[in-house]
Amino acid sequence: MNTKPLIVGLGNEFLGDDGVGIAAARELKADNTVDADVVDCNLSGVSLLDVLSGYGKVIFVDAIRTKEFAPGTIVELDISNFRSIPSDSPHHTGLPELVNLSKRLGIDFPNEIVVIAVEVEDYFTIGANLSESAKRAIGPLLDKVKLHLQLWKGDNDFD
Amino acid sequence: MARKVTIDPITRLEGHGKIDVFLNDDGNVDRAYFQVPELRGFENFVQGRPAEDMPQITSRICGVCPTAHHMASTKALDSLYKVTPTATARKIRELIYNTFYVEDHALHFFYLAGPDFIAGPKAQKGERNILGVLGKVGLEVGKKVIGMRKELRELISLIGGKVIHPVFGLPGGVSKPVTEEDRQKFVDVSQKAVEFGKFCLDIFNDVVLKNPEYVELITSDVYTHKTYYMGMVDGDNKVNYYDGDLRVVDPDGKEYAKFAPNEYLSHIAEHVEPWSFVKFCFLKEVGWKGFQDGPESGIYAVAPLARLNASEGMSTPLAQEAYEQFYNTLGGKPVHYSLATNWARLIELLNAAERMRALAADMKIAGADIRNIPTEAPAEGIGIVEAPRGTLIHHYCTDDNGLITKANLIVATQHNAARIALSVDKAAKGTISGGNIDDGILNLIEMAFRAYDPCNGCATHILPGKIQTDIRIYNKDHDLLKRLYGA
Repeated sequence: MNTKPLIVGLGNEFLGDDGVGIAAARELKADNTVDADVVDCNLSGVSLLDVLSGYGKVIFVDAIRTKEFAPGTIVELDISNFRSIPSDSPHHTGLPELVNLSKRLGIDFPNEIVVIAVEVEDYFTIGANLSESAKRAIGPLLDKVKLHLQLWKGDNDFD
Repeated sequence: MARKVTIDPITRLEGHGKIDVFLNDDGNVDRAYFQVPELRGFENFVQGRPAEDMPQITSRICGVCPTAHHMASTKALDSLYKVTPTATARKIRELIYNTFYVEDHALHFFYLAGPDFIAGPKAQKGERNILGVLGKVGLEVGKKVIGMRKELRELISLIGGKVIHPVFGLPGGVSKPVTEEDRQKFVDVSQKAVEFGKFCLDIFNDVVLKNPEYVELITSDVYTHKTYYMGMVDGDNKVNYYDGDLRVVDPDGKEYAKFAPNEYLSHIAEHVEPWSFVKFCFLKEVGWKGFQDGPESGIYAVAPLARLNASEGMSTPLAQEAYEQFYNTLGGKPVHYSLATNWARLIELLNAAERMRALAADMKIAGADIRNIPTEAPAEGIGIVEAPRGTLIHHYCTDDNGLITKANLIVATQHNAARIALSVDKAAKGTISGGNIDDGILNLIEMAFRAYDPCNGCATHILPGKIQTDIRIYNKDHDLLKRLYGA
């Protein structure tokens, strides 16, 4: 088990605001005060198992579109916010299914999962730049990530 | 107090696969449409960028098959700069590509097709997923699949950089040699991969072929379409994923055309329907005759079943044996059952593992001559590979400085789109009559396109992910009667 936390920037950098998680991950990679492994990728479903296995704690940074918040709002979620298999299709593999699958297979899988997402506007236009609201959200997003890392570090010191 | 937010995939449905079913006066299906919304701007986006960036850009467009885009793009650069990779570089590329194939085919079979065929089409919804698959075949098999994929991905990373962002392809060669130590690792893992391939086919034999109900499903009329088939072949007309000519056979299995990649525009044309942004590919000389199968219609298919049909066999002995069993069992060539694609995929998995083993055993692959430096001015380049999901075409035009002036990508889903539309329409007609909508429609329709593993994201040049479907059924007045969501 890797004792360092993992930060995963999810999204597609060529699709406008969908790239906000990727942009944030790159800033974290360049910041040598961040004591965590950082990856950026556009994987989903079972493919994420390959990235996550072996870590105990993970933070996802991603774009989200709920239309319930103003663009640029930072939304923090944990595993309880994700409904398990809400679709009519049996083939959907989301985060809850991954947790279940890895437990059944005895794979080392993070037992602490945090998602820090930015409510975004346009994630469909290829080649579009980040919108102003997404750009402005990156600073606060990074602060949130660092806060979590601090908290986790505190936990370890306490142990 | 934090506000509780519930996320479900429906919020991300916007812009994904959508199926519209229109009923007539009698409540029967008039026509079912399978459509994908447009994503704007790929051609504009790449215009003016250096062609050399394309292997990186295109592999980041799609998270499902980055290695296939990277390889097609690298080959397009070979063609653009008129440079042939060294013999060593070619072997390295082919080794990595076959390693990727084993990994990708395993993922598809166990996670996506497995729920239909291993857990079973009649299994309860809660069981028809990867956990249901494990319930049937045992946890040890699950661990084996995950462990095998991990070893294969580590091999790709050795040479290609991160699997998710490959960086090994350069015009005229590759960026990194295979050391003798690396080669030894490939030798070891490829042996395990061959055993794994045999093991997958054994599971298919035991669980699927020995169950008459499943065999009946595979051969059912809903998923049977007598179309043309296209796939890449080597000099002996054996299936090849990395390089060769494209061979097309007619619905009777006879060779209809065989052409070099740079002649593709003479053979393939694209039809546009007002209701879809996907361009439907068809054989130019046969012509577009609407959504119908048969020799008069230019509709053709790609992907594992099509590759087997379009070839005269497999390049390796164990896969060749499996190929013969496949056609003996299903009544000779060509096989027109779309769902047989899942079986064909496992035969290819074994073939790719055997190719890996043969390439890794060749000491010359650890040579130092990994690149020919391009010296010619660029103008136009075409690169074609067989992605696991089917023929993938990258075509670029540049100015004298190698900046892109025009780019055309044709992905597997575009080749298959017309045939998938046939299946969706047939499945809808089989499950709706007199205004009664059978709840089985969702799974029947999803099975129809899951066999091809289409990536609509890719087909419209976007973000990938497995398609999320949204089926809407309308009456004759176009009032919405029912809506179903899939993954």
